Amino acid sequence: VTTTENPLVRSYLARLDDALANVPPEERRQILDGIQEHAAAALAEIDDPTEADVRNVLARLGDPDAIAADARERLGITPSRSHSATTVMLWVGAVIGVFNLLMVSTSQVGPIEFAFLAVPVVVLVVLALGLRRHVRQPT
Amino acid sequence: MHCMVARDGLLTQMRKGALEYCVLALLSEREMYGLELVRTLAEVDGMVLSEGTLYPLLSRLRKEELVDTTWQESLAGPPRRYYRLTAKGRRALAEFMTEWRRFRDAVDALLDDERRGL
Repeated sequence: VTTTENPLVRSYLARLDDALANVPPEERRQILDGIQEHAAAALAEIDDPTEADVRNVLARLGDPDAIAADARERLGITPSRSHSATTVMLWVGAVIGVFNLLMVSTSQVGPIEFAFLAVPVVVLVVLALGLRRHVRQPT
Repeated sequence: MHCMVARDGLLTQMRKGALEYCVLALLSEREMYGLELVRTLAEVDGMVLSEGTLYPLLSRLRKEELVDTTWQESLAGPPRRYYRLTAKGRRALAEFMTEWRRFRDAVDALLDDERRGL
């Protein structure tokens, strides 16, 4: 029985593949291949490996999330989640800002229009503060 | 407590940094396949925590062209991917060895001074 046919190894490799989602494709492929070959070589040394043998080989390889975390550190990849959150915030802020500015410019300035004008200003201030914190974080 | 954490973090980082060159040093002696490399490293106390973390490291060494790979048949089991040092890898290892010895001697000299003072 080859390793790719073993359901335990297959699910381990699938979990690792998921965990390596933000690793570039070439490195992701190399890591997956290396680990698959490692498991195959380790199991080939055992005559008729049992489920316990397979579990032991996988346990020694370690947790897929830990391997992925190590891969990101080794390959200098920062998780992109916080970046995309900031990007979404920026777009939402920009759309609200442009919309409100258009509303104000096409109507006469009264108390309601003034409130509309205040919204983009507040959004921009919050964004600026958030961005400053975001920029400082990685250092 | 805080000091312990900082020291553990430093040791982890030092191990991680040095591991790259330990792999290059092992491969400078002969080509090895992944499992063989892991086992040789495991014999050195505290060098590898989980076997799987060797593969991101090997991927990086391949990307930097310090290491390349060849396939070889094996008598027992599937063909094996052997990792071998490139000329660039050999140079990187030689540079590290010089730097490492200089660094080690400097730290040792300072630590010995400290001990004399205690």
